[in-house]
Amino acid sequence: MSRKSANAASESIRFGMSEIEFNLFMRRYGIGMVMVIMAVILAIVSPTFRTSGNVISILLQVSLNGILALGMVFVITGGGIDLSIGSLLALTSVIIGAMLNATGSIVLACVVSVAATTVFGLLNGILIAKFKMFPFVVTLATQLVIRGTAYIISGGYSQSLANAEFKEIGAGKLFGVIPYPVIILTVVAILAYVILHWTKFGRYVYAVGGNKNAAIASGVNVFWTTAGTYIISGFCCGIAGIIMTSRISAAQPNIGVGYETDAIAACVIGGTSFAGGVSTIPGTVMGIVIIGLIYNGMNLVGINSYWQTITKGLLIIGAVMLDMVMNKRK
Amino acid sequence: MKQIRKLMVLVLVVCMVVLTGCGGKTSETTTNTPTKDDATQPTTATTDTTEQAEPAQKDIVVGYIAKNTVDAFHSTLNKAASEKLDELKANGTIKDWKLLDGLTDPVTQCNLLEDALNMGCNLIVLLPAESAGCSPILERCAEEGVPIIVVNSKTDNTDELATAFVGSDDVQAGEMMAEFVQKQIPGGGGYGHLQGIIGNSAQIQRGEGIHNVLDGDSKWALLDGAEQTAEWQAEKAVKFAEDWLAKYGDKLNAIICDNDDMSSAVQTAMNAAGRSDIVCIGVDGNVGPMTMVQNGELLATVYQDGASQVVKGIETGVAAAQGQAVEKSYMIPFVLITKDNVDQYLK
Repeated sequence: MSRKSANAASESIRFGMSEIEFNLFMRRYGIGMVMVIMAVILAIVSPTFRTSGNVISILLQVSLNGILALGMVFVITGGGIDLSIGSLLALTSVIIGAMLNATGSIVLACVVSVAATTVFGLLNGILIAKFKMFPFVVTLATQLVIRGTAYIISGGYSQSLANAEFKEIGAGKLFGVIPYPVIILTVVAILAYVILHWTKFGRYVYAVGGNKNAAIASGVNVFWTTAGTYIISGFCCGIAGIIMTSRISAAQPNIGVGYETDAIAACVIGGTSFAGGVSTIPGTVMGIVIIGLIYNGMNLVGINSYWQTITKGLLIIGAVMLDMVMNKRK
Repeated sequence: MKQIRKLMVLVLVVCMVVLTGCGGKTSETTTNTPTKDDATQPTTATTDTTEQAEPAQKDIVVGYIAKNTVDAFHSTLNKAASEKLDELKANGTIKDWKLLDGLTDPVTQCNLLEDALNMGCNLIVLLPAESAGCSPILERCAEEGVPIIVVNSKTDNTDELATAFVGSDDVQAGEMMAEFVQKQIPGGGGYGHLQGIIGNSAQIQRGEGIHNVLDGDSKWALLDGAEQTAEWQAEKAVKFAEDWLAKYGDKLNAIICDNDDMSSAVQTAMNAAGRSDIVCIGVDGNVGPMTMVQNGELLATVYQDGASQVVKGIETGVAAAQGQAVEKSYMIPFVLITKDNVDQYLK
């Protein structure tokens, strides 16, 4: 979407819009419409859905996956994939546990854990960008390394954190209304928007993901651009990990299994192309909300979780199909 | 092409409508307000969901937060719970109930509690995914003044904050397994121990029970390196067991497993390797292992009466919500299942 389709070839008129306009409209707002329709239907069907308490808890519920997805969208836009995020959550959790125990300093615990996940992000980036290894394989492998590291740090045991102040990060609310994780999600989304859409680095990510050879030819530093996307993803995992650890107020090495699925799903539903080079932050945010609506809405309406899983799968296929059909026109 | 595109959009929308629509029936029944409320609050049905702190003897809405809906043991529990809750709903003891799937993830369970509270649940039945990670759920319930019954395994703060705990003493299960092995092979020998996921309370306590009995028995020795975690998974357990068999041969006489998915798979592998003399035993009483006991392929398994736990948990919770005094803890005993009594338990 950021790359404006300037190849205005055929100008057949439909719905009072030219072909190109219709195309752009659908790509921009198609997923937004799905989101709005879902919300409207849920609001009609379930009285609980309409309550302000529920809206806030949806936002709280999506904040974790949201931050992960906002990191993931950089990686996918750059033509990669990061499967290590679930393990990175666990790593964050156990480092926080160990640091809080050893020093009692929340700031230190958070800084060290985010630094650690960022370094692992860099490691992913180096392996992928420098040695030209496949992102899928690299992150599949580092996922195991990171998970193992988390088990070693924790000795395999989960540990309750009795730190009331640390708990506030996940449980506290600004003015007693907006939970802190929602605020953190908002800040991360704004930062992601600025970086991806307004900076040179963001442009480079699109360039590398869209056409690597062209990017190289135009003098883009492919190594740092690619590595940068994984660093961002690692950083986001650290942030999300802090929130998660705080919400369960426990350091757990076995946590975060399968979290990459929802993060990738949010990106894809939000219009991020797996071929790379196509994505938007607002789209991703909508994808995040849609996933949240699936979980929350179906629970409220009373659809069992087997169907929730199927729905998520169908929605991803639907979103990818939509993407394919849209792209074919070019 | 244009048609296809329109079709795609249509399909997506239809998907949504169908999925939200098919649940419509359940939600209608849940949002039915009693007529007396309708008289005072004719505008909307949401009012009843917001009043959570009402005194007991009111409409009880149960939020049943399952650990997961996929493994055999928990499917049994969920089925028993559904039947019990349907029965209570039919006879008017409770107004409604919701099953929420925790996906074996403490964060998901924390989220589901918020959903349950939003839906107006005023009694929570929780099957915790983790002992540490699920503790905030109990704190939230205490904060909201909603009674919570913890079933099957404890959270770290269950003793302080839960209205009641219903479960079984896993140390007892470990001891039963070890004693069975002692009885079967009076001469003693070497054994291996396949553990569940490390850190889980069942894993810790079952291991404790095994060691309580066998550490003090000079005839039995834990083979070197033969205590490993197979994470409750049968195929992982078999890999370990086959390696041990290759390494220790005749010195391996028994394999004790933290669940019977593992012990039944291991016994099958040992039988196939011509070593049906190796005694394998585990805990849970899943259908597969029980059938093997019935067929004589497996000597015994330790039955954890999950259905009784969850039914007792629900009864206790409803009693508490009605304002009756309940005990803090109820223990449902384990049962050793052998060929003699398997028919009684295998339904």
